[in-house]
Amino acid sequence: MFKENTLSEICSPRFIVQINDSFIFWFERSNQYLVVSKTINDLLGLFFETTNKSSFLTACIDQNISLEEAHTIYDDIHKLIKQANTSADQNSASVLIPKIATPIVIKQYLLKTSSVIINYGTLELEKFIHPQWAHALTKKKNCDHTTTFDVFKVQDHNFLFVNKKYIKHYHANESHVLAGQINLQIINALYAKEESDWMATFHASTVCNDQEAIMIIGASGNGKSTLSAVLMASGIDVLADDFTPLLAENKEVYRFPSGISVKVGAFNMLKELYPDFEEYPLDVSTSKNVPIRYIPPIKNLESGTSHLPCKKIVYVHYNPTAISSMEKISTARILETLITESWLSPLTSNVELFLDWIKDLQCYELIYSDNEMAVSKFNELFGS
Amino acid sequence: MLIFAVYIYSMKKEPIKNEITRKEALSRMGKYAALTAIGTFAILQPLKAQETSLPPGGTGDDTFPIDTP
Repeated sequence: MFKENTLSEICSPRFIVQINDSFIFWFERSNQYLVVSKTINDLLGLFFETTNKSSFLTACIDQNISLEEAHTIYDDIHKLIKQANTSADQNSASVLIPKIATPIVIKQYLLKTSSVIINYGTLELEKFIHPQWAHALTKKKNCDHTTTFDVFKVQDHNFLFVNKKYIKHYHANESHVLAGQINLQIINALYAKEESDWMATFHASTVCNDQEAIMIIGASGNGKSTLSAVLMASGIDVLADDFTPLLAENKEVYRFPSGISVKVGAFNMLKELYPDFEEYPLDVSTSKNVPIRYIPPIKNLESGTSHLPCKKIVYVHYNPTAISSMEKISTARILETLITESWLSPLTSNVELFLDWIKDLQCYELIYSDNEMAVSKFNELFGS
Repeated sequence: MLIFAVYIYSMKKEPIKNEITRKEALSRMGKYAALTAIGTFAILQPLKAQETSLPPGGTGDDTFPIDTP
């Protein structure tokens, strides 16, 4: 569509899609998305179509833009496109890959007909990872498909091996990234996939019926997982908590059968909904000693469907003083949260599918203070 | 005086829609003053790796929010 600029730092976007009044540009070099309104889209079109600054200024003057303003617009666009093409490098420190450490604790988890064995090298890692899978703990048994994880710490880094093969290492203060990688490896094992097969792993919870899935997004602390637990208490199936994988092949979201993590602020409310709440696995290993409890999912890979289409996203915001409401909003409104809080595959073919997927989304904003109202609104959304 | 609708993304990453004057837009978004006065735009960068919001357990990081409900 656009001419390629000769300046290497000013590459044209690989893809451009329009959703309602917004235009989304994707830059291949940086795997960054630029979302703009129509007027800026028009100017960006002019920027890429013209061969140099002089012809851009001439074109602007033809559209009754003053020369002075055209200069500043050009300079802004130049800076913007340069920034859109530039992403911060993540320089992971190179370390010597060690031999697999002897585990302190070994646990096996049964996930349908597959099993995952995790060899924990430290008690801290076991306390951190085990609670979310405790509901799937099984006594040692042979399964058709068993995947063995070794996770251990050497000096300042945690190392992850899968089936004795080195996968990644992370600094000890990046345990949320280690956990994300373990989650990825688990879905790869469960569904016989590789990272390149996934279009995205969203920082989102997802609920479903037997026809469709609805994704729940929101900033940290907005109550995504707590809302999922509330919905599950009403009988709604939680397909995934905190980590929702989207497969490229069929553009469907897949079950991630972990426990639902709820933080201490929600404990009293959830005790009313879950009579056995005090019995659920507790993670007290956080350095601030803020406990997290993991509610076992009511459905698993045996009793629930493994994947479903997802065309609805709810941006959730818990506000105890607000009047609960659910309103339809534009897709552009949720993109900032959806994109910046999630891993999106940088593969060109997957990005094209992702942009196609978001074109058909129906998005809603739920502000809630009332659990019953939230449950009612979700039941209305299913099938609507 | 012309009024321009501008999205300013707060530190909490929540979009806040304000109607502000061109002068205010220029002062807020000095880096892209001209574009800010014309429309809305945002560069969005996905995470470089799969992550969770799980609080780390005894592994060094001690920052995570407490759920509000």
